[in-house]
Amino acid sequence: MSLDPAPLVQTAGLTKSFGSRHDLFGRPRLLVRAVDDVSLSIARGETLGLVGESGCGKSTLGNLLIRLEDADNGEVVFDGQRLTDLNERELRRLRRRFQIIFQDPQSSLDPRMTVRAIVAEPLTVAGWSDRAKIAERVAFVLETVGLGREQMSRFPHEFSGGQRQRIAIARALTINPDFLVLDEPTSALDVSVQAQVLNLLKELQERFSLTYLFISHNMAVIRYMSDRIAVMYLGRTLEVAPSASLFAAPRHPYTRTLLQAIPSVVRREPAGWELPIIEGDPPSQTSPPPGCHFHPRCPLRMPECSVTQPALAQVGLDHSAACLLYRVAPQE
Amino acid sequence: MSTAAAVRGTRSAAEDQNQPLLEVQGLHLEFPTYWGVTRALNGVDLALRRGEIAGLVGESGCGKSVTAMAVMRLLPEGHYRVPQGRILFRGEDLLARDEQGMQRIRGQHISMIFQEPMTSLNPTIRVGRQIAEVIQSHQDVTRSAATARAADLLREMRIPDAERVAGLYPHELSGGMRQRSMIAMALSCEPDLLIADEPTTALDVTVQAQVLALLKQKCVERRTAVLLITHDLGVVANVCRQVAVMYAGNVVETGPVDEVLASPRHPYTAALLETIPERFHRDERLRVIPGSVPSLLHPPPGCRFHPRCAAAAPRCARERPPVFWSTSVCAGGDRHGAACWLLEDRDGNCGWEECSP
Repeated sequence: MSLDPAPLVQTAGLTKSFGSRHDLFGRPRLLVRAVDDVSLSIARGETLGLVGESGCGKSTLGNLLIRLEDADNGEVVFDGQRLTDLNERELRRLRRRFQIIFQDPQSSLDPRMTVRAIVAEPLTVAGWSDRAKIAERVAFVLETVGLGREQMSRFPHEFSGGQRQRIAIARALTINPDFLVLDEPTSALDVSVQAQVLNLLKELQERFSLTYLFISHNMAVIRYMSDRIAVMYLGRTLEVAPSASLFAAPRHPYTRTLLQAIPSVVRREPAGWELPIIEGDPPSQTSPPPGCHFHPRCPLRMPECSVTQPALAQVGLDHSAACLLYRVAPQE
Repeated sequence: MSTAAAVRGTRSAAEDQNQPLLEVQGLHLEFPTYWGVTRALNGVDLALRRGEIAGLVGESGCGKSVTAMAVMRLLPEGHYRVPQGRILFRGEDLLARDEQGMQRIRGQHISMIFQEPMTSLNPTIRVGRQIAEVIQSHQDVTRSAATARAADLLREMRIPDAERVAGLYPHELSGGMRQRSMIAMALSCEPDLLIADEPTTALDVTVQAQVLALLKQKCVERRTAVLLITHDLGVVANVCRQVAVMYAGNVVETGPVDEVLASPRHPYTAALLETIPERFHRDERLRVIPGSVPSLLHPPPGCRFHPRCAAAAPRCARERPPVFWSTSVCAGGDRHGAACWLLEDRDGNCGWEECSP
C-alpha cells in the first residue's frame, strides 16, 4: 500500500497526568500519568490500532488526539496544524474534520432525541441552516450505515445495540470528517453483531477514504482492523509495528505475553491452559515501577531493567520496541 | 486432605459414576411482565458429570445466566414461573426444595462466582472474614480455625502474602485478587459443583488467563464439576472439555469441545464460529449473522434461529427441532447433539456418524 508521506495525525512527546499536585492540605498527591511521552503518527487512509489492558491510557490518548482533553506536554499535529496552539474558534472549525465514536451507544446517544435530530445535530453545530439540505444529508448517511428512512423519527431505545452503534457512526459521518477515533466501538456488542459493525467500518473507510485510530483491548479485532498497531502499557507505547509483523514476530516481552494470553479458538493449547501464562497483576498507576514499567512481570528481565527506562528503538522494518533487549542491536 | 478425599471417595462410589451430577431436563422458565410473558428458557437440557468442566456459551440474553440462577434458585420468588422441567442435582429435584433446604445446598454443595467480584463481596468486611463466615455457616468449626482456613485458601489461590491480604477490605485488592478471593470462597466448603458466571469478563486478558488457569487447576484437583458461563468461545476452547451452545432460550448444540469447534452441526454454532475476527485475513469481509437476537416476548415459532438462518426450510418456521445425536460415541463417552432439522436423515432417523478420537 502506498501511503501519503505526510501523516494526517502526528504526536510528539504527548504527556497527560490526572490528579492535582497537592491535596486540600497542601500535601503532595499521587498523580496518574495516563499518557507518558507518546510519539506516534497516523498516515492518511491508514488504521492505527491501539491496544492495551484497561487503564493503560488508550482512551486518554484518543481524547488527546482530538483535543477532548488538553495535554500537559507535547504536541498534536493534525494535517500540518498544531492542534495544541489553536484557540477555541479555530479549533471548532477544525473539529469538523475529526470525530469520535464511543464504546457504549446507550450512553453516547441522547435518549430524548430522535434519530433524525441526533444525526442532524453536528450539521447545525457546523452552521448548516437549509432544512431540506440537512434532511437530505441525514437520509444519505443513515442509508450509508444501513438504516432506513422510516426509522428516522424513532428514539434510540427502540433500536438494538448494533443499530444504535450504527446511529453513532452515522452521526460521526454527517459532517464528512477525515479522521475518526473509534474507542472500543464493538466491545459492548455481541460477536455476531460485532462482525456487522466491523464490516461497515471497513466499507466506510474505503468509500470515504477515512483515517482511523482504532482503540480496543481485543487483539483479534485489532489485528483484523489495523494496518499498524501500537501496544500501550501504563501510559507508554512499548511496541509499534505493522499488524502482520506484530502478530508474526512480536518483539516486546509484554506483547508476547499479551498474545499468549488471548483465549483463542484457532491456536489452542492441546490440553487447554494448565499454568498461568504470566504472574502478577498490572502495577499501580500512581506508583509505577521504575525503569521499564513491565519489568516486575517480565520473564526476560535483567538487573538493569529496574533502573533504565528503554526508549522505542528500531527493531525491524517500520517496527520499533521499547525494551533493553534490543538496545545493543546493531543499527545498520 | 486424605480424610476429606476418603469421605468424598465413598460418597461418589455410592452413586453411579455415570449418573450426571447435575441434570437439567426440559426446563421452561418465564417471567410475567407488564408487556407480556418473556419466555426466557424454552426447554433447556443440560447434563454435567462429577468433576467435569463444561462451558455454557451464547450471546447476551440467550438464557445462560437465567439457567444458572434457576439451578441456584436465586431468581426472585414469585416473579418467575417454571411451567415445565426439572433440575436434578444428585438425582434430587432442586425445584421441590424449600428455601431452607436450598440454603443447605448453596455454598456447601453448589457454589457460584459472579462476573463482578466487587458487587458480590461485602465492601465493609475484611476478605478473610468473609471467607471464614462461609466456612463457619456450613461447618462446625471455631472462628479461629475458620480464619486460619481462609488464609490457607487464599494462599492456595496463589495470593502472595495471604495472611496480610486476608486482613484487607475488597477495595484494597486488584480485580484479579478479588476474583481469586471469590474462587477461594466458592471452593471453601468443597462443593460438588461450581457455577462460574462470566468470571473473567471484567478482567484484563493477562489476568483472565491466570484466573482461568487457576480455576481449572483447583477444580481438577478437587474433582469439582464446573459450569463455566461465558460469551467467549476462546475461553471455552482453552478451559472446557464439554460445551453447550445456547440461543434464545434453547440449547442448540452440545458435545465435546473438540467436536463442536471442529465440526459444528447447528447453523448457529457454525455461524458464530465464523464471525470471530481471528479467523479472517484483513482483506476479507467478516461473515455475519444477519439480523439480531430475537425478543423473547415474541420469539419466532418453530426453531428460534430460523429467521436468521441461511439454511432455513419452511418446516423450521413451524416445528421445533428435537436434538439429534451422533450415533457413535466420542472419546470420553459423550455424544455430540444439535437441535436442527438438517440433521434428520431420509428415513426419519436421527443421528450421524462421526467422532474423531
